[in-house]
Amino acid sequence: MNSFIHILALLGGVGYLMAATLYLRHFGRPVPRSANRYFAFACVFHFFSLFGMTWMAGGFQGFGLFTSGAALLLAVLFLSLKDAYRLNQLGAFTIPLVLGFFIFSGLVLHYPVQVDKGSGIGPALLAHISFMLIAISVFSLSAVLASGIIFKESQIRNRTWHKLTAKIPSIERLENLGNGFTYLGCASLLAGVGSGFYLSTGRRSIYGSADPLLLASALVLTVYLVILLSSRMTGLRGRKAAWLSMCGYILMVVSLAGANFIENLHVYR
Amino acid sequence: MSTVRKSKPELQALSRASSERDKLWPKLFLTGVSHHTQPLEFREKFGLSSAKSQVLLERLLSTGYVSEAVVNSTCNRLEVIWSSQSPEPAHGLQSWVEEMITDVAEFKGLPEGFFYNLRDIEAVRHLFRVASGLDSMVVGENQIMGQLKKAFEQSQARGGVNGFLNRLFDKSFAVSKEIRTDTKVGERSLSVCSVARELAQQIKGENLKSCKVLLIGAGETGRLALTHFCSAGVEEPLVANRSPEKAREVAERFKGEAITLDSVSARLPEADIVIGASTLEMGDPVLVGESETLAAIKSRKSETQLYLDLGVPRNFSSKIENIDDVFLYNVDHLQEVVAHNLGCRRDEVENAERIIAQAVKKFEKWWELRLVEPLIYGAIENFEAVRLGEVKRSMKRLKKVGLSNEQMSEVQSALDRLSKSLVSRALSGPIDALKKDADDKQSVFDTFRRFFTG
Repeated sequence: MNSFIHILALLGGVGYLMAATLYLRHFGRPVPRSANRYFAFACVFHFFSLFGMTWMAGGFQGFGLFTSGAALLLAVLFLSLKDAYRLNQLGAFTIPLVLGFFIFSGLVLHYPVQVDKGSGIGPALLAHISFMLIAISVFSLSAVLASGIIFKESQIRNRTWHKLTAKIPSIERLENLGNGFTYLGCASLLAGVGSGFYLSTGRRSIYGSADPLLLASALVLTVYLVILLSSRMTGLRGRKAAWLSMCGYILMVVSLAGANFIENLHVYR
Repeated sequence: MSTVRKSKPELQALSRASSERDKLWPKLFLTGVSHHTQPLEFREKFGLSSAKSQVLLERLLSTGYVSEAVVNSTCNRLEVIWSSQSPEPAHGLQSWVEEMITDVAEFKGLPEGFFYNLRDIEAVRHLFRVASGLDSMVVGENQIMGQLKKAFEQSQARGGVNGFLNRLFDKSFAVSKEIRTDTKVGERSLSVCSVARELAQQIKGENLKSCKVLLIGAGETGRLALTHFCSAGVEEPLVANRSPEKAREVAERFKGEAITLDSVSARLPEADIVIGASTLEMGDPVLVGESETLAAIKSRKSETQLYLDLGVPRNFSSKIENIDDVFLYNVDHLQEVVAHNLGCRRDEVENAERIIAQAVKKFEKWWELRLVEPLIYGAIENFEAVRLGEVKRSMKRLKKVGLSNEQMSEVQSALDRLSKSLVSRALSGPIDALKKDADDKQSVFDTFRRFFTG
């Protein structure tokens, strides 16, 4: 059973790799249908391998499974939105990110589980994991859009017309979409931090309400809220807002990875 | 190189075959004049109106020389695509068509070789290139497709196209469509104003309905730019001009608002796109400077502004390009984009030519098949008649043997199967040879005709 799950995961990885290669090879040109097909197949294999691993582990626990889930959610989010919002060309930015998450999840798969199985999972922990998953995948997509804005704006400003420039949505469209995702991400992160805080105050975290992951997440949330507020109040937009959004995203990834990597830093007992 | 001397009867047979072949195979001609061969002062004489094109078509078709014709007259070319099954020599027919054209265009005293004349497959290749916009002054433009369609429909309405030209034009439209779909030869704008509009769409989105445009300078360039922007959804533009009357006139035309030049700075924050198309004298101060733009951006809460400077000397200060949230493009920048787009189109010409070469080859094959089809059907008919006769004769002989009706019908079906198979095997080799591309195509054609069709 275990090896079958690993084969599924391997097939998923190969699918992502093929899709990423095709997307990068056709950068600025029409993306072949096979690229999307590989991407979709990879998602299916990834889903079943993740399901199998969760089942074998007796629950959705551990940083490896969490990262794998975030990669899958990001992939599904991109696949379902790319046609509606003409984001196809941004696949060249998205799939490597998915692949990176996927490979990383494999590397940290056997990392110690942070949740004590004996005390059960419960709805609060489930909500915490789900909201954090949604937040990281939505912010990932927002980061992809931010990189699109930076790329496009620099092309137009420097008057170096790349064949891709005309193929990705307008700067204003990317900004609006990015803002939408940031709102959604903030709401999810807020809910994730809230449920985490509830778990921590229930004395299940060794640091109590000062859980490092929650503090880092609160910091990330502040950065994103600053971006949203600034864009409303002072008109922060364009590449400045995009760079800030990228910074927020990097901070989130680093804090999530750091808090989960350092032993006993983020543990619910 | 060795030559085979042919006897007199053989030569007579060959010439008979050729004339029969010409009956089946219409001669295709293309007579015309274009921007490639003649300067504007000559070309403009041949820009026939729709009525005159009709007259030319009528004259060509009313005699027996031309069996099908299409007259394509645009500002850069006049071409007559015609086919003939007349036994007259090609040169004579071409001179006659040239005379008809000059007559209708009322132009006398043309030098020898004024028109170009293409024949058969070269004419096909030229028509495919014209339909795809590869022969146009602006490579890849798609206006020619509409003009060609109109010319074709005009001739169709008059009954000037039958099977052959019908097929040729259908194919040329299909090739043009294929080229536009599979290559980027028709993509990317090639005029400064359309590039400016595309630039705005790259920043503000496909639909510019929510964008406010401020036009400074209501001259011809400004009006043209506004036409492009209004076609992308811009509504109620602001128009400023030195002469208020002209500003009002242009504003009325585009359902906008006329403002004075003095109020430009005050209204600047409202505009998402600012177009400068005013003609300044050297040494005149710019119409929009850095401080005004900074103030506008501040009051817009950093909402992006696009400045398009179409004037020479420049209407806007070059320093405004350093301001965040401001994009500045002047005529040179836009020309660079146009040149880049033109380069991209030219890069695609090679791919388009490849598609045309394949299409021409296919058309040639169809044309040759059209020529051999009657021969093949004739041979099949002859063999079928012989086969049926032989089966009937054999059945008569077998009747004398005293077989029962049941046995007779079985024998007949066996004989039918056998004879059909024999005929099909006997003909398959020669038919294949006839369909195949070969250097000695003519001799294969004649041999087949002599042996199989009697």
